[in-house]
Amino acid sequence: MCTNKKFLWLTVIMAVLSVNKSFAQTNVKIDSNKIRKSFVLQVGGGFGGYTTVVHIKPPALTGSVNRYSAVGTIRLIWYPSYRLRMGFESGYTDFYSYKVKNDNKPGSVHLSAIPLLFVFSMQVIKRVNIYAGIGAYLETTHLCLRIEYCTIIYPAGYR
Amino acid sequence: MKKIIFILLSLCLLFSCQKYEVVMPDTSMWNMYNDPATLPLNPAARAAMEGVYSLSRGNDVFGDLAAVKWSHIIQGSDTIFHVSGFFGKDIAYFICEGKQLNGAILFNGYWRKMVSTETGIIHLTIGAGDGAGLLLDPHPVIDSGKITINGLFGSGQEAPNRVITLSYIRKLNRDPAAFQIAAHRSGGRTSDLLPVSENSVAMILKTPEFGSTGVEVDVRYTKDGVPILYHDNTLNLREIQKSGLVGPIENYTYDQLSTFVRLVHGEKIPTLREALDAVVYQTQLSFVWLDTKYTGSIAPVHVIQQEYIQKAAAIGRTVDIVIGLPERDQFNQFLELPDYINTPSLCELGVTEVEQINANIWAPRFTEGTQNELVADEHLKGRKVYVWTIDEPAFIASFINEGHFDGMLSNFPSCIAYNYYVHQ
Repeated sequence: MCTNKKFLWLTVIMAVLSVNKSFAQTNVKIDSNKIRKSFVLQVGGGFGGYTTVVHIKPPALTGSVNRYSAVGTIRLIWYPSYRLRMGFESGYTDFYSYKVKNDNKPGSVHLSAIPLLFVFSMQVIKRVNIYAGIGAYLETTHLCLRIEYCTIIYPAGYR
Repeated sequence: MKKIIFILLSLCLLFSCQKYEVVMPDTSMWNMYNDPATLPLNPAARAAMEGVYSLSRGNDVFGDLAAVKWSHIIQGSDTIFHVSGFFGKDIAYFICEGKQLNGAILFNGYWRKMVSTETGIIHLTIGAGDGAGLLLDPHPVIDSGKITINGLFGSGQEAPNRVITLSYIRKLNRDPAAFQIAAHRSGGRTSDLLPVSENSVAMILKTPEFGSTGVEVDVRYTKDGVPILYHDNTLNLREIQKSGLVGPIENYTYDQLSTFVRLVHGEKIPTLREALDAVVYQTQLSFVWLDTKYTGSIAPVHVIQQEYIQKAAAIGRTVDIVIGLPERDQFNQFLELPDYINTPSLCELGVTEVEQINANIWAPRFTEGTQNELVADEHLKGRKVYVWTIDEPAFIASFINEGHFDGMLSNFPSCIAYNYYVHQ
């Protein structure tokens, strides 16, 4: 399904971003033969882009759609005695946002998500790990339409 | 190496998506049809050419028979006519506009198969000696073999190059008003790659071309209590363009939906009033099934229903607008209306419930079979029976040929139209 592109892109980006320098910085040995049955908490952050094409066409779209924002991730990974690791990942990300002006009514929308992913990890070469996950994104629409509605937040669906 | 394999696999997954779409062919390129000397057809010619036709050429693509029927809508001060041909193979149809030129009748439009994405341009002609002379007479009388429609059709945007020939056999069977061809989701599903979105005003105006005589629409309430047309529980990309709004549609006010949300083909989500305005004032549709997708009071919808029944009557039209009751919750809400016994309704539950509320229409699911004895009982009580929702052509044919229903709901009204009008 084409709607899965977003998920796949995020998975790829996540994998690339997760070339985890923190191992080197914290002297964590990445040789799986020496790490046995331990849990590692990884906290990360950065700048992310919503790569799927966004064809937002409300009638009074002003400006463009902003698809870049800060991303925060927290991941708890189990390091067993074998090569494949697994764990749980969550965090916060903004997907995209835009503003409209219709009949002099200013409005804006931004869509954020909290990932709830079961993740797998594997070391491919020294100090380089790949990550892939499956799960849901709890999406929330933050919608402002005129001043009086600007605090309304809609906890919404999932993907 | 593993990293490269992983990246390659990811890329394969990313680019393996295939988006199915139907690109509507550009039908504006037929020079003869665009000739300034063309004239509109008169009503008598349109009515006289409606009928069942046999195909002697092109039948490998469309089947052996076609039901040809006209429809029209009103746009402002204009009345726009279309002639549709409904075929027996692959739920195929053509939809054309028609004109006359130098004693001949020309039809220009497109054809489509609903079982696939196949479509293309079609040009049809009735020559002066092939029946156009008869049809253009002020009082045309048409018999079998008196009209021959010759034409060409193509695939996609290519110029028409394959031959089709239709010959008039007989009038359309039965009285068209006697059987309700009801189209699902205001006329058809977005997922069937139609050029307009389901549950939109544009679809209501389009569906007569598919042979529909009535529509089923899905009614929900916005957060501020405005009845609108929308099928699913949530805002999702199956029904709307990406907007950033997610979750239940009931979480949003009409103002917010109107500002931020557009259906897949760019239409606004219509209010129930906008939809009924289109039905009453712009089409000849005679039946509206207000499917109750909400839970809660039916009273606001009831007010609108009564208003539009009266508006239709005021302009001399009879439009049966019924409140659909699919489940027990809605049934119980309906019982809370003060005059439910006199409120036009359609009940999908059993005959006991149907009789309890004096429903105008009983609507059993098609999986219950034809139930001819029960249907006959309800007929004796002055009640109509519509069966829903049948999309399989063989089942549609079977229920028309073997059942005694007064109407049928389908996502493919053109398939019902073919089977109903061709049936003897």
